[in-house]
Amino acid sequence: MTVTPALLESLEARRHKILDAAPAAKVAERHAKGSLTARERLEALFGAGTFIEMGMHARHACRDFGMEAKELPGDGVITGIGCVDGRPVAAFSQDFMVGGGALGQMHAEKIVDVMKHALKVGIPVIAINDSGGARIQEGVESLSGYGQVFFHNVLLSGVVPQISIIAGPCAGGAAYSPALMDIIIMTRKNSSMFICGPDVIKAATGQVTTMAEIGSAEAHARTSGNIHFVAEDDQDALRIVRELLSYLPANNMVDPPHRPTEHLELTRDPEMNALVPADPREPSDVKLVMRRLVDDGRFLEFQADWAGNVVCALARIEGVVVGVVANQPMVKAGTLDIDAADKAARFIRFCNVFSIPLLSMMDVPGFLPGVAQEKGGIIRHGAKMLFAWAASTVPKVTLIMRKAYGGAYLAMCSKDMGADMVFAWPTAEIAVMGAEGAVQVLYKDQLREAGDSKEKKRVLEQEYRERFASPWQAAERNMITEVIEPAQTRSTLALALRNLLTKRDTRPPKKHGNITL
Amino acid sequence: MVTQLKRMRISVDGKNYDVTVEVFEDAGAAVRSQSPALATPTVPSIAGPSPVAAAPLATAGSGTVVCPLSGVVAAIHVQMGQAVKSGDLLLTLEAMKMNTAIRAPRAGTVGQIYAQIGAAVEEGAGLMLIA
Repeated sequence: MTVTPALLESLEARRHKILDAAPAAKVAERHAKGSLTARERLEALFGAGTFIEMGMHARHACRDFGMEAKELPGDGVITGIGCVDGRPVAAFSQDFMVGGGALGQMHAEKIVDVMKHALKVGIPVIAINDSGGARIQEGVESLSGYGQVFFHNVLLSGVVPQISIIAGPCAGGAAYSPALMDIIIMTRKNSSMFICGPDVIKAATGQVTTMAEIGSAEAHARTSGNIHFVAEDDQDALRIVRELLSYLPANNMVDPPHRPTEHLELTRDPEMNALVPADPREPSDVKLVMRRLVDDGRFLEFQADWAGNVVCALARIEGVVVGVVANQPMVKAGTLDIDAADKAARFIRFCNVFSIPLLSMMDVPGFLPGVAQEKGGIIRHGAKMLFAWAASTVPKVTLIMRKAYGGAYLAMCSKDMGADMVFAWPTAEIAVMGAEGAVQVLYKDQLREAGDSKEKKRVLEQEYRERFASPWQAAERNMITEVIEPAQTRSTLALALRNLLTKRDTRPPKKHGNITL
Repeated sequence: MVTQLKRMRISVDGKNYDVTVEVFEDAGAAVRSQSPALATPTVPSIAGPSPVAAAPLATAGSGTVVCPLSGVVAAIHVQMGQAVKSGDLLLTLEAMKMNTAIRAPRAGTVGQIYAQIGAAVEEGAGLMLIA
């Protein structure tokens, strides 16, 4: 006995009705705008033939406002599991061409289902957002749907990586699901994200603004700091997803995909010496140092256009995946400020939950002085960095290249803050404060007696610099593992990281620490 | 286009606001003012309904090179009237034991240099004007 042709035809007809629901003219319109359809996005993400769709035939249950007769294929969202570079990944893709991709009860249920599946089997979730928002006809059912999605975002947080692509509108409450995930990518055109749009802002406050100013990829990448990557288009966004996944473990119980080479390359890199300016006042671009340090000169920088005074990036060193947190003296003299602290703290915690070893690259003159910083709560924000380093249990290696002053030295993870190994270049300046400030405090009386002589001050500053603006005071007090030549940096870090992979660090049982949010 | 800074006091509903505005001398510019007698204009001629909105004109006007962090001006590398390309080094700021290079945000001509060597400058202050 075989299955009847009629049954197979009926299955094919049902599939056809859903897969080919979108009118060709509308699809062409989308393509002309530079957007893919919801289904094309999943096809581009997953290896050919690997996608298992979940709930293709699910229907909405709305019986109000004439909705009972309305067909909404898949209820406006495509969900399922596929393979990215051979590794299983869960995904959902909102379909703007089905009722504006609006979220109703069944739409939410499908998203929650695929998230629960990802949690159960421990695989990453990719969310492709392209939705007009709540399905108003479904009223509180829709609101409840958002609540369930948010709740599960939090349940999954720290268990499996969650990556969000904003590839269309993402308005109002809907913006909080991506916000609760680990990483947000926005396409440069065709996407927007906001809580209250320009019209609502104008009605409520009289303020006149534009979508470009408050909701564009550019605005979130440069000003609000809400997102991590700007993609040129849908394909580029998916490329970023694949690159991210290449560094991430499937879940918090397995190691990230280290690719340790059998032969550990430990040769010197004399060109690294040439990258260090002789004058301590001359800023050096930390990204040039990073490029010489990581495999193939490749690193994936998070939030490149926001808080550029700190650089956060994923990379590999001799195959070991590492999260780099580096001061950038080319921006705001490399000082730490509110935004830089927020950016770094979140990145450190992201690496910690996914077992990614951390590398701090220090060249920091201090926290940014200023009224705006103090009033803005730099104490509470800066504390997030201290908290994040101290609470992280992954291998932590610190490289002190040049400046390491005061509290900022601690906020970049000194030995006392939990660094497992600390390496310093001979150019390191590890001191409680700069010579100018220190001399004012230490020699206040002597300077006054000398009639505030500029010459006297200069001599004292020079003495202080020679004695204290160096790695030696810290090294003599056993705060440094080893002082190394810049040329030895890559080999030393490669060896250190490899030897730290077996690290175990247990903490007292608690619900969670109380980070200074 | 020659530009100069002018301090003005604006009264709105009995409340005084001290603002600094850029005065452009060519036609079609944002603000025109020929004489000090005009230094107390009515608000709408400055910047629309909100008097507070007038203040950013001094620093955030297009072409103004804004100081990224408080420090001391260590060197000025350009002269008035000099043509610059986007990214050219304009000024070196010494802040936090470090030199910070201030580069041209766009191509143009150096129209004004507000900064002076050795002088302290605040974050957000205008350093130069690229016209």
